[in-house]
Amino acid sequence: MSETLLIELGCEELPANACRVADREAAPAIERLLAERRLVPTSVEALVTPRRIAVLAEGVPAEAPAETLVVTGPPERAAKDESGAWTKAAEGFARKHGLAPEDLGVDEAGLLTATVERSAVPLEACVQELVDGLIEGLQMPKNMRWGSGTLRFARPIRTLCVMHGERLLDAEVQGVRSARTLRGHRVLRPELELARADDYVTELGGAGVAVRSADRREVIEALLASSAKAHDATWQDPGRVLDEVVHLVEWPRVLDGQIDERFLELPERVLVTAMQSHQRYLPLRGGTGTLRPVFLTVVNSHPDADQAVRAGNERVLAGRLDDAVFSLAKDRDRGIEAMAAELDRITYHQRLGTLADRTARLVELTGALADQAGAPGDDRAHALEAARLAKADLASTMVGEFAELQGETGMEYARAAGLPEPVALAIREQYQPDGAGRPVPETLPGALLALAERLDQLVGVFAIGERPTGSRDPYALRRAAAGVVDIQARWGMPLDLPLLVAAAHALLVGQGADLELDADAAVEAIVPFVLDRVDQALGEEGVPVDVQRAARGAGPTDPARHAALARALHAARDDDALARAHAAAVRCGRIGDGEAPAAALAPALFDDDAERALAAALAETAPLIAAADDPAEALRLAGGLADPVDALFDAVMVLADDPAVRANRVRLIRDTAAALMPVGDLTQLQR
Amino acid sequence: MPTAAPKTFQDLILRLQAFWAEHGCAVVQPYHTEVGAGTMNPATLLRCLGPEPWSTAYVEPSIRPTDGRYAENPYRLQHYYQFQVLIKPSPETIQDDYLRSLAAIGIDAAQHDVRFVEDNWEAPTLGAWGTGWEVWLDGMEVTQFTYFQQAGGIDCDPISVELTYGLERLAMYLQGVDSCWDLAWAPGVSYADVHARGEREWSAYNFEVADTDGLVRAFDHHEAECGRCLDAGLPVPAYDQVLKCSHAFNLLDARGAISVTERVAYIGRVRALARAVAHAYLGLEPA
Repeated sequence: MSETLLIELGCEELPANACRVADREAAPAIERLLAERRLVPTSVEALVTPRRIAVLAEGVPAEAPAETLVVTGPPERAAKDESGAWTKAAEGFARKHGLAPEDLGVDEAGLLTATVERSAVPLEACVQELVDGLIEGLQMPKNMRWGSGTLRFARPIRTLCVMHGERLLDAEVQGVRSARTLRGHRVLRPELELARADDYVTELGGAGVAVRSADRREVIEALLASSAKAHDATWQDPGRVLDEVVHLVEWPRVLDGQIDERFLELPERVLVTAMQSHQRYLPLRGGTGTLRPVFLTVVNSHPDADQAVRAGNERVLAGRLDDAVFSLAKDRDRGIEAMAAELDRITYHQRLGTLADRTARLVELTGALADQAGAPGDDRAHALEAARLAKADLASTMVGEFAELQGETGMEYARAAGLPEPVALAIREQYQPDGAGRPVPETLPGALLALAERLDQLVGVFAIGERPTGSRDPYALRRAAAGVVDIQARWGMPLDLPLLVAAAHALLVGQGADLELDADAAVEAIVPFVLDRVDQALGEEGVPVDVQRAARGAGPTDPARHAALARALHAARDDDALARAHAAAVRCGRIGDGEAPAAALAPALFDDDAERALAAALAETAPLIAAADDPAEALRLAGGLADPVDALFDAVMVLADDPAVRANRVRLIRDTAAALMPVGDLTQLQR
Repeated sequence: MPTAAPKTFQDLILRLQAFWAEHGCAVVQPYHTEVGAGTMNPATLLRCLGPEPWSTAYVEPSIRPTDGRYAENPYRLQHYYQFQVLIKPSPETIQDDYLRSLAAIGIDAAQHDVRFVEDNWEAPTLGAWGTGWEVWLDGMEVTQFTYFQQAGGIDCDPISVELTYGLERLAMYLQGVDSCWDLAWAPGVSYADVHARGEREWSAYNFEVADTDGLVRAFDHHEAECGRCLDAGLPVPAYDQVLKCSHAFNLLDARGAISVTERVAYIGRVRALARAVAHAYLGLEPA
């Protein structure tokens, strides 16, 4: 009979990122495991809290039905050798399916077949595999061992419950046996007994556990809204702490706490950061946008404890704000110049020198970028001054207490020192954008500094051999590269990546950094890495992969130019000019790499007008294509080469018998292909 | 029935000691050489290695020269106290045991918001890391809770669990005071009575007076001595030399006497010693 199957792993508090993995992966994992065992469920849902990962699969049959299966193997002609004896291939295939070679059949395609009878398998027989498969199937960000066991998981597993309908099924995880006893909310109801799998959500709800992450978020947001309303304000979450808070509570409630008025003199960003970072509180804003002297916190405790919990949280926040007041006063005494002077005592990276070293590189790179961008004198000067002080706030007490305030703090201290406003703004903007779709620098000095900041980081980290692999990107280099692309897209300055990477590399070498990659290797690794970010953005816009590849064939060095070409190719996908250029490129591409071209084109060896016509067209069009700023115009020009190319292929055999003529024609074809290259490798287009 | 909160700092220590002693921990007492944290006491860092079961609890004065503030900061000190528990293998009921230890010092989890918030620990100089939480009490971090995965560059097997209670902070909460200097240490004796003068003088010594040339020589000497101990097959005395190197390094750091490149080199030297000692302690081939 089909019933609901429950598997619950009762855990010690799971990290929020582990909960997110379970929310995403647990249901598909169980669905796959069940299907592989012919136990197809009607639906599967993952239920995840910090103390449990559960899956509820509805309509799971009590047994996998018996079935007859015909499996195909090697071809019949490989089944016997010349003497008529069974070959190893045939014997192996038969043995694998528990048959003798004589029992094998042959299908219409001439392949050996084995007819396998599978008997019915009760669910009980698979339960342990399902539990083990679930644990192994979740790709946790960090695993651990505990006790004397060898199992690895995000946190220790302390209880296990596997039920099918009303039946408790046996399984174990490192000495923990499946039982009906579940853990409820740590304080509200530590334990409960489950009678039926179908009761799981409601029974736990009664035990103070909201088992669906989405439900908890909904409850939290509703409670925050009503608390905020009571203060005639709206709640805010600029640091996106709720994503984590959802996985820090099983039974969310919201409490409000007071902030002493004297703290409201602190810069607003400091207040908000003190609330959000570490404490995960939510600030409130009134109708006019001003901060209220109130914070909201999501708690997991019993209502009777509210007074103590509120007082405790108020006290903690006051302590942090006291630190901020103290830091601000101390930093004001020192000033930004004194902080900048201390950067030679702070390591940026053990192999990339101190922050003073990094600052020296940023100043140089910002200058190079300003020159490339043709930045006006004032902007250039402001950018250089901002670069000189960019990292000073990392020596401040404030950033020591609140790391998130880097940049913001530097801006405030630059203002306090009476520096020009564009310098202060650029110091803050150097960290923009801090993610996909986030604000980019709104001032040119800020944009130049932000580009320099990212280039230095990319080149430094790549050069010491720490490029991102798979999901490992500890220095967030993908974000840095995407930032370069976004800033350029906003500002439109040219970026010659190979030149800039080489310049950044030379600066590191000049400082005596101990590097793994030389300049060429750095260019070879980093340029495609940045262009990959462009392609990712193009893909999200709907530009297909073949178009991206074709555009990459042009050998781009500038991210914006690459994007423009890919978009032009995509926009022209139905245009005649592109179809013709594509056809020409394909015809040229058929002349294989094995053919050796003449060193230079020799008009004396032409013996057909079609050759002369193509050579003439090339001489005129190739420089125009190469020089065209607008990729659409380049495409139009490239299309113009299609007729002479077609005429050539129609009129002559390129691979002529006379070796000299042949080499000359191959040269002509290669020159044509080269002339088309600025519009990309059109042979990549799927048409 | 909830227990009343301890009224003094010493009573807090006594209660935790009694609680964990009843749970089978050997109360081994603080170590005799300066350590930056209770973790560095050999009762934790060496005894977490190898297969033998081991349960211990002790208070540990932790020495962090750069954190000195001349007794002018309400809770930042160059000399403060941790209460340390280490149990190997980690018991199944350790979270509940921990919550009962809070009850023993007058904190009823049901009357507060107690949360286990992910916080993984790493000590590169010791070649050690673990997974666990910081425990929040109404938003305040009161305990570091760690399952040791590796120490001295060696995979732990079985796994030990370590609890580190921040005693000053807990006591401030229990006594309702805003500065550790105002804590009652014993009836009629304040924390300031016991430690304020020392904190001022040690801050001055650490930041202004300590003989840097002598410390550089001391580091070299203890490093060499560590090697001699290992050559003589004496990993436990060798470990003391690692602690002395580490403390000399911390003092040099407080004196601002270490450049960035030197700093990296010093950390590397301490780590190499810690690894060598850990391997020798287990009778393994040198790493």
